[in-house]
Amino acid sequence: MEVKAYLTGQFAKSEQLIKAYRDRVKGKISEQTLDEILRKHVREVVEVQYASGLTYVSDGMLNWHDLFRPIVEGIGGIEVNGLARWFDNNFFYKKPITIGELHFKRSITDGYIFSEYVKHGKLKAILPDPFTIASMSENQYYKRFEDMLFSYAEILAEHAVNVEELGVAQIQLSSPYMAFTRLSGDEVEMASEAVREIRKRTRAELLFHTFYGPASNVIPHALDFPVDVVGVDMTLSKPREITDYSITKPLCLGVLDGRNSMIEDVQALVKLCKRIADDAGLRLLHVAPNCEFEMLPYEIALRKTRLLGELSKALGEVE
Amino acid sequence: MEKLFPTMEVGSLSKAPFITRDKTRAVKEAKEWGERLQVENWTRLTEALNAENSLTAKELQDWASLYGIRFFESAGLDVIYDGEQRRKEMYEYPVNFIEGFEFRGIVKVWDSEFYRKAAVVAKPRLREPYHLDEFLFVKKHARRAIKIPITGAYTLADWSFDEYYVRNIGATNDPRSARRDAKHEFVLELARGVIRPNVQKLIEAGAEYIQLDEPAAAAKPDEADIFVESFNESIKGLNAVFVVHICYTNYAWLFPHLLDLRAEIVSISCSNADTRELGVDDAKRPGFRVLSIFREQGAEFKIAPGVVDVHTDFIEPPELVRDRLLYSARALGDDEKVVACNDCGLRTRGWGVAYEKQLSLTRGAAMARETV
Repeated sequence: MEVKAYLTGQFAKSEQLIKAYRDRVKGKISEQTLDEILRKHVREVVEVQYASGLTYVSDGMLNWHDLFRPIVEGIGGIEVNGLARWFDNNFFYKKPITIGELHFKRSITDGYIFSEYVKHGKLKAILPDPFTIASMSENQYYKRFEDMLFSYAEILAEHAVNVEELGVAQIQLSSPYMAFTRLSGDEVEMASEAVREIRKRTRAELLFHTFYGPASNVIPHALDFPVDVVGVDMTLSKPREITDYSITKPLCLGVLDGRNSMIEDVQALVKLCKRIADDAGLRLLHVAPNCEFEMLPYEIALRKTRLLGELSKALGEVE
Repeated sequence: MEKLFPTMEVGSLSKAPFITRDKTRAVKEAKEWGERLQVENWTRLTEALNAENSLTAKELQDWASLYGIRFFESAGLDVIYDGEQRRKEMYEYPVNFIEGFEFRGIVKVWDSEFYRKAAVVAKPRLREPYHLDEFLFVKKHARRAIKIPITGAYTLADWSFDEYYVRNIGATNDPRSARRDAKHEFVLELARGVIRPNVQKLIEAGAEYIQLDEPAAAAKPDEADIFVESFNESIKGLNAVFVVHICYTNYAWLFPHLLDLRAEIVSISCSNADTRELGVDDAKRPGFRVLSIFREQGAEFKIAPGVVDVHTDFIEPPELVRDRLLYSARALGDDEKVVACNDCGLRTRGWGVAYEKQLSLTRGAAMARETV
């Protein structure tokens, strides 16, 4: 079976890096010292992905405080306010508030992508899907939600162009919102059109990755999105939520649990993936964690990354 | 708490201001607060702080606890504790007293805030009661009714990894249901095997008011029933006034299951979403409109809406506290259902600001009583 394997979000921070960030806040270390420690960990996170044989390699997004922050910092017409819960997790993000016409100011390639540690054509970049960031923002400016949505989409498309210029092979649009919340038909249509704004601007492989909710909230309508791959959270999905439908494009099965420390059994995952691939008639399968590893301790995130490599290898040997 | 709008603290204070390595400052703070709060024998503390190494860590904690008790009493609250002066956080400490958990490492909560997270690896069981010594100290010194806070079963489970109850999920065709079942079992076994016996020990030691802190209660909308069942299991067969504190969340998610909750008081946050303008109309009190849900749903327990915002140094004038209480009484349709409280613990505020806020709380409650 042909297999692609990769991570799907921010990596966990080591205790050393956590301490460095806290020390920086207290003024105990310089920005340069923090940057050195950060880069050491970027190299380590990149290295474990190479060593595990992953198809695409992420820089770990270790300086992204949350999925939105680097994007928001580069947008005019927006500010961040208090903390809000990140879906159903004991994890919080700073809520963007639109206070004016959104406009692109600064690219995430300026300080938030460490492409120098990943070979050209191997790097993967992750952006929020427009519908997710718009839905998780507070709108104090636009008359209509969809106006805010498409403003975000244009800005995210600009980021997609920028990261593609760095040699990015895959761009992931993270859409926890679509899995967590069952969207109406009109909302799905809007979400799809917003993604189209990004599709128009990039030729990189585009993954629309959904998590924190079942595939039944995503399949089949996301299969019509203008993307190359659709990702689903298999830690919360029944196989038949996928296999009951005609699967018309490659799927990314999020089978490793990024929210629990339990180390999965590789053979059980091979069996699950093979069953879905067989039932859905898939000859190419993408496998990944269901979500970011940021809510795991660092050592466990490293172990799960290696496990993903083992899973990919084992599936590759399956007829 | 028979009078209208009784006042109740909700949890932590920042550490007593004399807990500092700066000896001069420690002595100054101990003196100032000792005088202000009329802490008995406070000069012994300043003398000890002036002398090198004459106080053990335990003795320093005892003093901090005593100052915490007098802090709330001096501000005039009806139900008090010591501001959790011996506690650093609400997860790691109790987990240390439970068999069946292993710490896995540090995980992020937001930005540079992290905590040490454990995994359940076996059926949890109370190793030995916790918070007991702390409670006995407060009981010995307090001059008002005391309410001890303790982290609830649902929150302990929600903030932990699960390597025990989910171990058979790999074989299921319905992982979502299987995970929910696993969580249900995990939470209930914590309630029965850890929280209930611990609460029982506290009651045997004389606790009359017990607050279960459940900040995670409404994090997962489809698990509200699990939270409610775990609360009821935690207190089953026990005799005390039980309070539950749930803050900064969407309370609507908890209904209708919350109606089955066997708590006497539900403490919630309101003021952080409210305006600072005086008045008892809807436009002035957006943070308290949530109370109408409790009334519409027919909730029978008392509500302790936070009439003091703990995330700002703004000192609420007593008139604002009064109006928030009067609005709450009207929204609930019953003056006797309202307990005056803070949104949450005052831990993020300095003692000076926190004290002024507590004075406003008690003065505002008195004004509300007079108005009614």
